Amino acid sequence: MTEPWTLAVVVLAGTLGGACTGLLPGLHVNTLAPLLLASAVFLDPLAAVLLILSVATSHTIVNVVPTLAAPLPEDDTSLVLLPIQRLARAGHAGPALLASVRASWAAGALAAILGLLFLLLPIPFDGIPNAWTRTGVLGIVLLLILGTRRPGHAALLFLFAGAAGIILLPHSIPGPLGGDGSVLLPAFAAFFGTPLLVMALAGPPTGDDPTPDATGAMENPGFLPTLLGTGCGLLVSLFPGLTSATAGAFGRAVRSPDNDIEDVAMVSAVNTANAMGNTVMMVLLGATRSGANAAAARLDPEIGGIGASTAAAALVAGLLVTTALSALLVLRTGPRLVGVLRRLPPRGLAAGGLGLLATIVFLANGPFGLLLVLFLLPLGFLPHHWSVPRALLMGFLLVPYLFAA
Amino acid sequence: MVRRVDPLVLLTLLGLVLSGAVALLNPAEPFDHEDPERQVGRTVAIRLEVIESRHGDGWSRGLAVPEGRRPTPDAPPERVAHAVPWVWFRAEEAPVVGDLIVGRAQVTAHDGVTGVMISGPQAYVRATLGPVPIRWVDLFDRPHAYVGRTLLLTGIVHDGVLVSPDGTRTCTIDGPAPPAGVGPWALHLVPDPARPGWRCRIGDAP
Repeated sequence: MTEPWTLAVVVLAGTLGGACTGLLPGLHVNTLAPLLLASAVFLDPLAAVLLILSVATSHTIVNVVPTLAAPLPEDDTSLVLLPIQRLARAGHAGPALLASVRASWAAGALAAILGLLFLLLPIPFDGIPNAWTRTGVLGIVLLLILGTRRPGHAALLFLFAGAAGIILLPHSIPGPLGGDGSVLLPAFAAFFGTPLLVMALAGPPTGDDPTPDATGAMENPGFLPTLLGTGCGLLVSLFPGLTSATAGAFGRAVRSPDNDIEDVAMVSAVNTANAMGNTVMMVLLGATRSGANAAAARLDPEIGGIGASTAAAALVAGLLVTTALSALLVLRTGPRLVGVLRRLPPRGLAAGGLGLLATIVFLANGPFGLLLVLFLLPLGFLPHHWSVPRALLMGFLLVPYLFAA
Repeated sequence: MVRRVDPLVLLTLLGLVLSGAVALLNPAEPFDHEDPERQVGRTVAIRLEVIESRHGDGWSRGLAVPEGRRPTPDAPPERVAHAVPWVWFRAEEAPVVGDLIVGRAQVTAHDGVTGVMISGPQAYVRATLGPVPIRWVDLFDRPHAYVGRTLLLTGIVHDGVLVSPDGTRTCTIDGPAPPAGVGPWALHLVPDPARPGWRCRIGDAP
């Protein structure tokens, strides 16, 4: 059994690691998973798993900071880029930061409590039956498509991404780092990171899913957006192939936010609750719902499906502490960090983010990986041009899943 | 003056307390092969391969492998001894030899005739851990690993002594000796306090 002090050190390291990745625009923790895998070889399996998941959890809380400073989103924050930028320009960066961080903290704690109660249920839970899972995924996607202002375009985007997934997913492109050469990294870089950074390079603030009725009014978001975000984040963790971006768009389809600050709180809650929910699904069913979970399962194959065990309790408690520490860290240093980031040239930051993303894709998938990013990039620009949720690009994974025998 | 505590701090503390409860109750902790004594009373995942099906009385026999973390390669041999006990179990429908039943079992004892409760995917079955079949060579190479457990051993009873079929190893029978024969015998191995050695307390075969 891992020593408690080792786990405490790992939680601290994970919090700081997630803070670093969260502050770097365009960088998602899933992208860093191969590097985290390499750095975790010095730890025993449980500590290594906790390190990776701590980084992922902390990342979901800290990543609001660069979004407030400049229009430099990544896939988790792309949904709230415009609302948060509106709030920042109206001089409400501080309250927006507070709303986001407190929603994330509350969602992380709520998700942990619900997840632990779920683990303790005396009823055996072997996951949702496959047929129901497909129906559920299809239902959520349909709601997402019908909830947009242009359902035809949304459906087309989903199918385009799906066709790309059907063609590309069976192939692999190994890079200099070795590994399995999965095409997911270049595809997600083309769909989520690169287009937003390229648009940021072009100048004016940009983003997806402008909230139609947003007013930018400064009001306390209340607890309802956090509850909705927690529910949506946990709901999608039950289904394979759905990400927090889908959950955020789904939350908006369920209840339109009254103002920007509610929107920011809801999406922030989604991201942290989803990270926690994914961990519960991993220990309960052995399901990997994110890149960080997949990396964790590779480090310790026995962690999947361990159920309500001491290791599961240690993981959830560790992530709970990570959530609180990350929130306190951002609350203490966030305003200053936003100021520092604002002094940096946004285009320079975007260029740096692009360079970093290209380097990671090159290391994991080589020059052909970079070519694949360029090939898929037009699809990544479509959500902005058509004003439909970027989350629909998850059709890349979902369509092959829905059509699988 | 009382300072108001932030509800988020309370929520976090509640989560930590709940984590502690899960760690203490650990109802789904995998079977720890390195520490079988501490598994008693816990419910663990179990995989059962049916090796005998008796349609007459509904009892079947299967090799039960508790799912869990395997012992490390350098673990002392006695730590590995509990890995594959076999169980008698009773199912609503008699299984076929070779069937794999996956379910959960409550470990009610780690040695001897042990009762376990197994819930299969469709039917609940009651199972009883039977004596562990063992070879003479294993028994006498590391006898201390088998003290207190019920073992199933084939040997010849001769003048109150259990003799291995090849005649190289013996075990003094503690208590009344059963009629002469080759077994298999269900027995407990007990240390002999009077002199260095072991005694076999022979019980009823299942």
